[in-house]
Amino acid sequence: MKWHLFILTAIGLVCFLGPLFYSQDYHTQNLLLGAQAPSVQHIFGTDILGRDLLARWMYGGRISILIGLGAGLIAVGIGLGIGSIAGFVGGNVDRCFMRLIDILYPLPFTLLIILIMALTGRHLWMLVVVMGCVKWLTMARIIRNRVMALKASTFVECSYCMGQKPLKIWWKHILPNLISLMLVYGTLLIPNIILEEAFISFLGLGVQPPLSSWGVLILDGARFMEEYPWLLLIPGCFFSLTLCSLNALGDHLRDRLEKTS
Amino acid sequence: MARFLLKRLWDSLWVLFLLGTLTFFMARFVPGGPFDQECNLSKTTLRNLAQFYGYDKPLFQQYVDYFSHLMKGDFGPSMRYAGHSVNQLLKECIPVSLELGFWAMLISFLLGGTCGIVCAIYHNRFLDKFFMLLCLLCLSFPTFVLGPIIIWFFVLKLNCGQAIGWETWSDRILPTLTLACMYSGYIARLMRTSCLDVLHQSFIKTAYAKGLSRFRVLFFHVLKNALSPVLTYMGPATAAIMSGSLVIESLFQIPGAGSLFISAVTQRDTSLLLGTVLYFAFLILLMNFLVDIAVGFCNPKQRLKS
Repeated sequence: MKWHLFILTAIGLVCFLGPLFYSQDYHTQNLLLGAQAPSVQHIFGTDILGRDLLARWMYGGRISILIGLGAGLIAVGIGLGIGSIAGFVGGNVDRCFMRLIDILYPLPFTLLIILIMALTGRHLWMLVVVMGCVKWLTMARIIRNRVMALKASTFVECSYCMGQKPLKIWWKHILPNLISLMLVYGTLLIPNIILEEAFISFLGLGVQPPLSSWGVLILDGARFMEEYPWLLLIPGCFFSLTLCSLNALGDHLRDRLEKTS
Repeated sequence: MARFLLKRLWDSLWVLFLLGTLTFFMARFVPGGPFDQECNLSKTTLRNLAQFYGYDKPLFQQYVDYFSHLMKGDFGPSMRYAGHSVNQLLKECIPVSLELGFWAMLISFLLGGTCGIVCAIYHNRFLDKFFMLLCLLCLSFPTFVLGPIIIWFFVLKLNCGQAIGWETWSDRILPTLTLACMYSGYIARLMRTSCLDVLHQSFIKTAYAKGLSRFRVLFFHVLKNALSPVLTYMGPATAAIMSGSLVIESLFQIPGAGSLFISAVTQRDTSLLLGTVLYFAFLILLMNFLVDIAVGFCNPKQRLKS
């Protein structure tokens, strides 16, 4: 097993199964305890309100991972839809979609996400939907190019000649050939989305307390880093470790599956 | 080429207009206005405020008014900074942000570019693997993780330099380096891939066969051809560095346009919000436009294609 896959599995398992076995709660405050350095009882220590940092990290990890996966799926879905239509139908439809993507491409989307989050009350699902709706542009372009190449290939032409219907051709011949592409670029998209979510939560506009996400923990840590550095260093380092493994996994998959493109 | 650039310019104007409209209506349609946080304002005061800022007119009228003022280069008065116009605020903040962004961009391009070339030359050898590992590390430390850690380590632990302000040149080192770190990783990877692509082509072999020196081949043949993907990245890099500077400016307390935007968003200062968003969008579009021209100069194929 590759090291990045090992780290990701470990982090995923700890985040999703850990709370079942761990006795501490993520929102119970204990003001008398205050911020404690890591010890046997509180493995990551406690935060300024006496909440257990490991529990908060695990629950925050769940939210961050789910946002990454959810928004990633939405983005890949939209990208697949629009890329397929543009590439498969071609002609004016293709030109329209590609022009739309050209126009949308330079928009400062981070600002738009911040704006929407600040103005619409900072709901969690809103963050997922908005992020998914913003990240599909590159995906659509890549898929459209691949669909066009596939459409020109001999086996699709043969299928046409044998009287197969276009929708069936797309389903049976084109979609299976897109899966590895979606897997690779989806994997590279997820760290991007997790990063963006943490960035927005860091500005205080994403996930709201008492819930936590990795971005919220880093923000909390940065506030009190002078007295309690572990509040910053532990979540920060684990966040970077996750990003690092996700990026390495994406690169690895790309080298294995999509070397030519 | 000229036609292509004109088309791009036309697109950019549309993007600015669309973004302005979107932001305008989004800021107006959501419940809550800029004066809601003010406690205990009398009805008359509120009415006067609304009248002063033109809030009592129909929405469409406000929209037309705003854009007709915008055409003359007037962003209107700020709603939370009493007595300041948005133009004034932007004028104070933009030079600081531009300087921060410029240095970060320069450092990341020089550092990342050099790193990428070295990696391509020593492909699959120790130096390549070492730098690529370093790049992966750079990519994994986004500004909001690296920034606090750097402040904690250099300012609080080692006591060198201070984390606040933008006066002397020593104030500029930490923020620019923090901002540049992640993007130099991106650029190094991009540069490495495109250099490798060029190095494998036969005209490089020809150049060596003609007896040109290694330096000459690298600088005049490889670099010129490998540069265009990296140049194309400058457009997205501007956007990325800009969003990174939101964090950097709030962490290091730099009075730039990023912190202006954050305060405008959180305080619902509509006119300031529109001003900052349009400024950022303008900057990104301008950069994309310049990149198009530069790539056209670098790569004749691009010129012919359009």
